[in-house]
Amino acid sequence: MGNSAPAHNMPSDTPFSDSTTASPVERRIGAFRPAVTLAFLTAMAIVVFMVVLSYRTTASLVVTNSWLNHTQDVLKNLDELESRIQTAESVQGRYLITGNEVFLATYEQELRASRELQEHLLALTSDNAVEQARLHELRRLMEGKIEHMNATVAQRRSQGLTPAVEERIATEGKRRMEMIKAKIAEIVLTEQQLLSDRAAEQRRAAERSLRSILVGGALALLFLAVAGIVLQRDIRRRLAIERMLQRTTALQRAILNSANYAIFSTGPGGTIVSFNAAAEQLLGYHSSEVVGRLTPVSFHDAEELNAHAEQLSRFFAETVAPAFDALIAKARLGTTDETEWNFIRRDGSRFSGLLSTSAMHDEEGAVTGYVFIVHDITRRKEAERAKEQTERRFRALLQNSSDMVCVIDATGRLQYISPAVERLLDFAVQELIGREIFDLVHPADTEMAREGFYNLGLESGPTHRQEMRLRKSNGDYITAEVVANNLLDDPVLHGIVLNVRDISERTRARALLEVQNAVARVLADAVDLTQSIPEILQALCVNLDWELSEFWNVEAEQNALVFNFAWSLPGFDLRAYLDISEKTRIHRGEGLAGRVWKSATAMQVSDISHEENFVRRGEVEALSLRAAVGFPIQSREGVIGIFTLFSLRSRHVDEHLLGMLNTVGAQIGQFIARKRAEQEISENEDRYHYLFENTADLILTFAPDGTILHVNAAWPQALGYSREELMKGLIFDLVPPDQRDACQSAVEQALAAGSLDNVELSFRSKEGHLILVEGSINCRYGIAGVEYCNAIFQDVTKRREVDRMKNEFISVVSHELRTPLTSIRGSLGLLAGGALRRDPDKAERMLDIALKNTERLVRLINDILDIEKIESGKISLDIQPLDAADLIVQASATMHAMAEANGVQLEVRPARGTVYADRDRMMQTLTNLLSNAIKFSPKDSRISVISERRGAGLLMRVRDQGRGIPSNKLQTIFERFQQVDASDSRDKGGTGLGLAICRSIVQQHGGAIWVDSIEGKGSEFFVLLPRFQPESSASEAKVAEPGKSVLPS
Amino acid sequence: MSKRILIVDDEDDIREVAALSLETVAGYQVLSARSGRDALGIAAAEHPDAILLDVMMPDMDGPTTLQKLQAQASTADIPVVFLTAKVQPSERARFASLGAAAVLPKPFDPLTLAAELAAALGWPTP
Repeated sequence: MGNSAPAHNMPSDTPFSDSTTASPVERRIGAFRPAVTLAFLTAMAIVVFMVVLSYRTTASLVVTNSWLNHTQDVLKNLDELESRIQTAESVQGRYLITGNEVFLATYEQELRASRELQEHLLALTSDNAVEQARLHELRRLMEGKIEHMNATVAQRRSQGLTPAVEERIATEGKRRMEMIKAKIAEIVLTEQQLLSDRAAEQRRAAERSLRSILVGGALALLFLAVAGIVLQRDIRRRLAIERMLQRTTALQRAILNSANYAIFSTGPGGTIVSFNAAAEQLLGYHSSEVVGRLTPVSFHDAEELNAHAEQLSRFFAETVAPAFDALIAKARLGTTDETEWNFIRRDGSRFSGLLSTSAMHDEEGAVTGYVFIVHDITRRKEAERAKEQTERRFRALLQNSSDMVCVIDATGRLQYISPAVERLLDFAVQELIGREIFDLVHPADTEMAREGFYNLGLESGPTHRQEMRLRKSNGDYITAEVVANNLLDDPVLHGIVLNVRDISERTRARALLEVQNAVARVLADAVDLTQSIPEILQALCVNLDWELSEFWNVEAEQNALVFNFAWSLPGFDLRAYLDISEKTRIHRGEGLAGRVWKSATAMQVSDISHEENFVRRGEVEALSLRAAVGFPIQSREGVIGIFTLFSLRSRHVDEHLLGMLNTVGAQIGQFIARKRAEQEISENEDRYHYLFENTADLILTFAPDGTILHVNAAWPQALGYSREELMKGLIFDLVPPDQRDACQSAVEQALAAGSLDNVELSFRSKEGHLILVEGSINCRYGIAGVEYCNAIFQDVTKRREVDRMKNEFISVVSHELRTPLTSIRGSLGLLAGGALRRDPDKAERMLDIALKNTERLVRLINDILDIEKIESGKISLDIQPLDAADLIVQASATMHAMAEANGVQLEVRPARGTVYADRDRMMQTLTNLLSNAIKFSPKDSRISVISERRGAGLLMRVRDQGRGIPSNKLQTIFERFQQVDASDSRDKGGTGLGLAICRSIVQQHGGAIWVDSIEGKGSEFFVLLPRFQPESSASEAKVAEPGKSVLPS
Repeated sequence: MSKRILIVDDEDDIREVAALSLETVAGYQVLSARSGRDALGIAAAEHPDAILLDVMMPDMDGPTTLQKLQAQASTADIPVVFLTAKVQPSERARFASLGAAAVLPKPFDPLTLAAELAAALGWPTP
């Protein structure tokens, strides 16, 4: 910076500017200055002299010229004065001649002008006493002349142009005028002389001035020429130096502007004098905003500056102001100060910068300014921070990680171990350093761990995860997941890094899950608990790492636990143990199992040898079993069994495992409850399925489109289609065509409303019969709407038929009752109304009709009541052993009179034996049949009454030779009011119910009644009673003797 | 000239009581038939003013007889009144729909039977 170019040499847009003091080059240039200065000064002195001289000459000329002008002015006024006075005289003369007053005005005017001119002349010559005296003389002469003229005028006016007047003019007037002219000429002469003198003097002065200017100008030119020559040489040298400087400056500027550092400099007072491009970029200012205007303090944080100043104050033991001084305090002493600062950009943003400050000195060592170089260290700082954070994070990770990190050497000895070991294994770090890692591994896992370790040595890099149990300081084990990374080749670490994670919880959870899964799997396939016990015991041992397990049943009757089953790992001789177990009954609170039963929760014995309350201690200890844990199976009824697990080593079961065992117990309990529920459901399902299949109701499931999904057994029975045939089609296909619309409408209504009651439909069976059904349709909804519909119908075909028949029967009975009533009502009505009073014969006839029909009505009512009683079972038959022959003989005897009255012969051929029947009812039946036979038999015909053994029963036959029964009536003749001819009831005195009553009685006996008939030839009625005890064959033969006729006596 | 009524009923007693009632109370002349078949012949031969027809008769019941009477030109215009022990409303409506002039119930009041018949047929009250 010491040789930087002057500021005025820099281009206006340069980003870097400087205004430092004179340089050596400048000083060399300064060596030419005195000659040039002297030449210029001399030239300037000459010029000044010439100027003074010219001034004075010119001033003199001006004065002279003024006087000349003054004199000429006086002369001019004198000339005018003379002219005026002459004009006044001339005008006066004209007045005098003409007497015209007009001329007087002009005369007066001229006089006034003359007087004014006189006064002016006096004023002009006030500085000249001689001239003043002459002018005063002239004024006197002129006043005399004026006075004279005025007197002449007055005279003229008063006297006219008299010779006296003319005389005055010619004489006195003329004289006076001459005197005035003479005087003026005298003054003019003096003035002209004066004018001449002054003009000469002016001329001389001008000549002197001209000479001086010529000499001075020549001298000035001479010296200027000398100075110009010197200056020209000087400028040439300067230009050469300037070109050299420009090159240097351009180089410096390029260096400065291309520098990555912000570089700016200040004067000694702190004002910035230069500011490079990097500074502009870094600080956000344009150089024009800072150069000559700001100090570097503007870029600093006030508080930081204060702190720095205080620090410096302490350092220097003197107050350093928190201003520019604080920035340059060290640099001023000649050292280069490097300090990290927070810089503030123009936009207020900040960055970290390393400021290097140094002082600039002149040749005498005085400080001429300071240079500031700022290096942006934001990135470096950030990188440092990031690195620091990363290191801190790693430190924290290692310190606080739940995982344990350790480094072992090639022999497996622990070199480093993170503090997590204290939490994981409850060892102090120092306790373990130097020990073999395998000391901590569970004996069962050691081999696996060593194998993994040796395999690790074969190749570098991380291994797969390995699970192993690590011993805690108290002897317990945790399950750990270990990942090893072989970094033996690492120059820094030179070891194997092990990452150890405690996965005991996870393992426990997994074990729980596995146990639960195993138990669930076992239970899923189990029919009952007893069957699945062995597998559950095995699952518990295998998954939970116990050697022996057993199950005890709660026997409610004995109020004790009874041994059920035991399972163990191979290698145990269980004979003595099983022997004692099977004989043992454990009561509540007795031993581990008894205590678990009592408390209904899992319990343990960590060391059996120290437990007093332990059943079968000797046998258990003989198996080297050290620890035990038991847990209950809880069902709705309470504890129903106890599981006990045994271990070869003394172990403490933590709360987690105890909880888990309780969970397993509850799971098994739930299984039992579920199994029972399933059984109930299954039974219910069976029940409902049985009901579904065996109900008389027609139950059908169909899809919303009418597709039949399922039918119960009633459908195939009702319609004659197989189940498969039914389930292939639509419900609409099962109805007759004329019912299809009604069926679809019912289904649509059910789908729309969700259900439909009182549905009446007809279905057509495979054989074409119509089945009339009544019922309801209920729809079942799924996510997408109706999934299917259930239809439950009752086959009402028979009921409807019964109803129809019932109505018909009522109608018939009504008709049958009303018919005799009509006759009774009509005949009695006529009698009572008195219409037949005069006709006793007709009245008597009416009484007959009334009586006859009353009897008919009574019979009818009796029969109706009778048949109803028999059919409804309201009459209990008095079945007794009867003499079969006597029965028929008695019946025939009863009808004997009627037969005789009708001219009919009765023939009786009874079988001997005992028949079991109600005597009165059987008599009623036989007399009824005989009565009918008699009624319809022609005169002189024969009626046979025969009984005979038929199987185990007795067959009784009543045969007539009457008109017979048409074949189409043979089926209905036993129905009520189904006589062959309706008129029979009146003609023959029947009610139309006799055969129906007979059938009812016979059926009540468990027998049968039927008829065989040939129309026009006769009929034969058969009655078969089921129980008949024939007499000995001899007597039977006697009875059955052909041709023997037994007639009532 | 008194009205002539044909009574058709398979029950002799009813026929007799009804005939006596109409004759005695109203002075009508009464013809009688024991069956539908007989009625067709008598009606055709005698052309009575009205027929009192039983419904339930063997062989040919009342409705069938009515149809045949209507089908037979000589008897088609004879008004028929059913006299029946079937008194359920549905049955009575059915009989009426067959073209009977009226349906009278059994048992009937012998003193008002003629008046009811006349009223049903629009005859002056006897």
